[in-house]
Amino acid sequence: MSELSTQLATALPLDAGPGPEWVKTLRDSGAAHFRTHGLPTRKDEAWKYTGLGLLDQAEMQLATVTETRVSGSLNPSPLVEANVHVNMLNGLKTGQNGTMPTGLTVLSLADALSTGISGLQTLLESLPMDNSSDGFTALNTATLESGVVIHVAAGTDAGRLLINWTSEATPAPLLSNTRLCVFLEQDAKLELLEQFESSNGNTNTCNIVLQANLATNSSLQHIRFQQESKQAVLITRTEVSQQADSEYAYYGFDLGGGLVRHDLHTALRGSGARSCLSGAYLLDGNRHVDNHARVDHMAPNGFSDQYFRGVAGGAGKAVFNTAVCVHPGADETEARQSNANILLSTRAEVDTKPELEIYADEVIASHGATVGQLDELAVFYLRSRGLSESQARQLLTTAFCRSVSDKLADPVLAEVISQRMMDVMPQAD
Amino acid sequence: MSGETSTIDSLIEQKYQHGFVTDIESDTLPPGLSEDVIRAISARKKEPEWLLEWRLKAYTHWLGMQQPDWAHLNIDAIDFQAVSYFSAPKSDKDRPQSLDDVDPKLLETYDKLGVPLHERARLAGVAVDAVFDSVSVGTTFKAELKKAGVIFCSFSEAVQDHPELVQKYLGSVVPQRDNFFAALNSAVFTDGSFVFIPKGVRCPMELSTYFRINAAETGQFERTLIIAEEGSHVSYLEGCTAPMRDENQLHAAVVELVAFDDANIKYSTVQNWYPGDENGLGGIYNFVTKRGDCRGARSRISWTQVETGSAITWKYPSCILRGDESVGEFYSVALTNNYQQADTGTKMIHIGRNTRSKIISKGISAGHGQNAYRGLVRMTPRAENARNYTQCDSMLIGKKCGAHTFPYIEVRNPSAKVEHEATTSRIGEDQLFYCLQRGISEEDAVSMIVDGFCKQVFKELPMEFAVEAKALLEVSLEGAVG
Amino acid sequence: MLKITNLHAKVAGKEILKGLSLDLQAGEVHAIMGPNGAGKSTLGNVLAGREGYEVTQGEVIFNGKNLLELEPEERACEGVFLAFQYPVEIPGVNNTYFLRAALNAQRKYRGEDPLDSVSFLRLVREKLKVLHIGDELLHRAVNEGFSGGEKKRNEIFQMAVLEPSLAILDETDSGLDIDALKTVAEGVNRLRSKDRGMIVVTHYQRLLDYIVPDKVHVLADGKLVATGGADLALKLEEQGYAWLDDGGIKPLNIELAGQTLNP
Repeated sequence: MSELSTQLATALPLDAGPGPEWVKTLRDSGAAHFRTHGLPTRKDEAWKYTGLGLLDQAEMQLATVTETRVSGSLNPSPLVEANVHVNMLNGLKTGQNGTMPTGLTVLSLADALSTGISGLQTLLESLPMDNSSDGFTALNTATLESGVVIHVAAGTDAGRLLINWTSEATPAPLLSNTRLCVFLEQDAKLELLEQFESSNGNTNTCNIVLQANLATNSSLQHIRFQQESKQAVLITRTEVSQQADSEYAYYGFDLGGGLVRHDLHTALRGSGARSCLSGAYLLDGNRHVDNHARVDHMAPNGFSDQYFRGVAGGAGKAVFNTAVCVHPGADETEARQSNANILLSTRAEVDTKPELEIYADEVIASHGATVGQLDELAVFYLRSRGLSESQARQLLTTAFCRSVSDKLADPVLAEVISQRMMDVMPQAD
Repeated sequence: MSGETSTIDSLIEQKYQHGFVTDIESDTLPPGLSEDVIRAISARKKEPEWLLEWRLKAYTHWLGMQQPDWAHLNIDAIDFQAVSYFSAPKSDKDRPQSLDDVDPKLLETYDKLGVPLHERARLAGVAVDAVFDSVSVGTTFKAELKKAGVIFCSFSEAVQDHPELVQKYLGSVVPQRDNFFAALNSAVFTDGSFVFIPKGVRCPMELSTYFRINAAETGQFERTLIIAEEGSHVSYLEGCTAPMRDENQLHAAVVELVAFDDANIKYSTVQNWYPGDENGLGGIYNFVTKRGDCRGARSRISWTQVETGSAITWKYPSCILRGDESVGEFYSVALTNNYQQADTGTKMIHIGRNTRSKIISKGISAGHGQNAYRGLVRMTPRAENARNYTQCDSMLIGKKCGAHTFPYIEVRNPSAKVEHEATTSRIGEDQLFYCLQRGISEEDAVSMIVDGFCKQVFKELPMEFAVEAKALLEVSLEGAVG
Repeated sequence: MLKITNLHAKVAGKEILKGLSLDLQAGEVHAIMGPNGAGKSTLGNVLAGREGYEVTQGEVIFNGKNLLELEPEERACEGVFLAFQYPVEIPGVNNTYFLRAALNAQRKYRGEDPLDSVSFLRLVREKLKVLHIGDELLHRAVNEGFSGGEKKRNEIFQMAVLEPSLAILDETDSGLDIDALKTVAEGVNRLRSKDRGMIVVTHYQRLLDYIVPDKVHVLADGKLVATGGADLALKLEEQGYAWLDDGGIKPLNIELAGQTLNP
């Protein structure tokens, strides 16, 4: 185990914290797992291209169950308006405003644990924590307390809910753990917009696990926009479980962050479920963004589409791993993957690995991955119409990423995000 | 294994004190691997001292290594001490005395492959008269090759006759400690082929080890080394077309290719080791390290493989594209039926400027077969304008098999371009029905469709191999449908 | 307005243009015809400054400026417009956005204020109306998923908005059916003016039924080998290009009324 792992393992509280017995057991299992395996290393296949150098700070403190972190609030202006705003600061819920539509319940995790929401125990206990690459999950479970539970009642369209994640520098760098649980009952709908921003100079690490349970015919639109500071570390895991005919759509935008790792996983457990995962990542400076997306088709007639676009400039490093697994019996599955990257600089790097694992024969699966440059003919075409070379390149690079934001149903949000991307678009050397 | 390094070190230090403890007269060394066994192999082959030392060094590395487990393979633990590392050709009295003594299933396969009668006997290991035994590619055409300056001989002969060449190039592409199986091979390899094509020479014929490895029956740890000097051309064929009956035989070969400026090496393999029976019993464990070094500018190495045999295949013929404008190619058909498992693919390491590589991989899974493509394309910072194109298609026949794709793409040069495409499909019911409706049997229809699926790779094979590969696929797919 | 003297150009190391000379006055429309591989498309690409087209000798003066010294976008801003033989598809870039960016870049070059979106849209709608083109192509990405005819119409539409002083139409007729051809030709004719020069590059004479040129040049083996009036095109249609290939380019003895032969 690394020094940091040992340090964090030591910092884990010996007391299993407040709450019902099963929560304590769960925390203990997380702590035991972490004490055995620690944080993942580059020897773990899933972390082959991502080291934890940026996180390796001697004075790093672990935000524990009982501790309060900082006071006050700092809420960056939301990208768009939402029905409900939930404000998070350094991983803790600080407030909530807006009008709650009927059928939508938003609780802090601590409250939900003590009052007991049906299905919460099952959901929390269902999170797989298999091997040494799941160290962050173990840490998150070991300190389970801070977080938010969102529940949308059957047949309700809850509209848009914004979670405004903010990180602010603390005297010593802080590693905070937060859990989000989302329940969509039958025919329910929700648009979950997560916005991550942090103050300059923030070096904190946020370790967030989101678990979503999508009942039959429900629909979750999940938009994740992050523009963290260049030193911030953001480790997130999204675990979605989909019942029959449910729909999960993910749109991720990585514009910032020093070290960003997102494990996005959806399991299509009921027949006819659909899953569309898309994302854009923009790299410059020394930033490192690692996205791992995986779809498990476990029932027939599923559909999944993964569409990711990346641009790497400066000394940025983009890691992308996409996997589709079609399990036995998941016949008539259609699975598509597409990943394209533009490498702009001699110091930048792109590592991509599009995987397919197929165990059923009535399947249509395809993937494509490219790493390359802008189409020079297109650059010439634009120049021949009077655009300068840099203008032409900027326009084409933005268009390349815009193909992701254009998938958003709300044109206003699409425009705002596309503008934000254009503002930080990395330039060629 | 790694615990006793100091003891091992001291053993190596003492190597000249003990001499050879094993009776070198015996045909087969007892099972087990030790320094003594390696000394015995080396002595038996009358090897120079440097080669013995080289083997022992590899052995030391191997002792400190662990069998890799990253492949998508389910392998029963291998007891390396239960394997016999040297086995001379069996004497005539141990062999089947006539075709009547040979497994009829095997003969049926030969029949389908169209192997001539007298060769069936040879392939089945029947003791046949000396005339046939002496018909080896190596000897028949030796004179003609000699005229051209080409050296083509067994590895053992090369060690005796061209030690300076062997010493210079052995391990220069696949170092002893490259991986677990390569280290094992380096310690215990028994024989193999050696090819040297001098500057500017276009090898006048295709070189083949089609029969030789089978006749020797010692193919578990062969070692092949091909050196193509500036401007030379060679096409080398390797056939393991004889299904072997041995159960769970371990096979760990190493192939090294070196291509200098403007040299061109084409390496084709048709692998059909015994795959085990319908229930997954027996079969060869095939762990092969094949690597080509495009050392010179504008050099080209092309791998073509048709893999239909073995219970387990672990094989990644690779190219290191060091020379500017060098070209690497990989064309592969891998078929797994019954309980066969294959994890195969390639690595293309682009180092030189304007290097190009192309990967065409076709995987077919039937029965309970598991077939994985694993590939790496790496563009290093120096690889200006390097290009790769990869196409990776899988076909599934039946519901119990699996087809997997694990491509690693690493790019560190902004002028490099990598394109990867993959598809997974099955034989369409409409395609099948169309054929059936026209009066074609289901089995023929399937083999027709599979043949079409593999066409891109088959056209890279020399003519007679292509025909054979096609026949082989048909045989291997038997029982996969219906 | 455009004077090309002894132009030599290479593509991928191979010499394609081998001493081409041409003089075009404002208000004139010149057709350049020739067999495949003669270098017709190379001329357009060289004039527009495409990378990979290397000028090894010769000179191109456009409105008093040495065109070959300018970057592609500077040439565009000076008023050179190339209608591409194969217009490029640019997914994700909206056609209207693209055109406005181009127009404003050119206006900026000329020292004019950029057009705001309202006046730009007014301008665009006016041009569409004149050209009888529907406005559905405004909402799509540049050329993406366009049919052959739509792409060519889009090129003419861009030309109408950008109002170049020199338009080079590179095989604008290729791949068009007769109706699409008429629409495109009509658009081009509307854009003919006394201030504007045009070079129409084509393999077939039929486009010239609709766009009647002032002069017709024959390009063969990298040079203009014959120049004449509109009737030269008809002659070519009848006799084909075979007579040009007869042992290379000899002085031509074919009688063609009212034409001069280039040396």
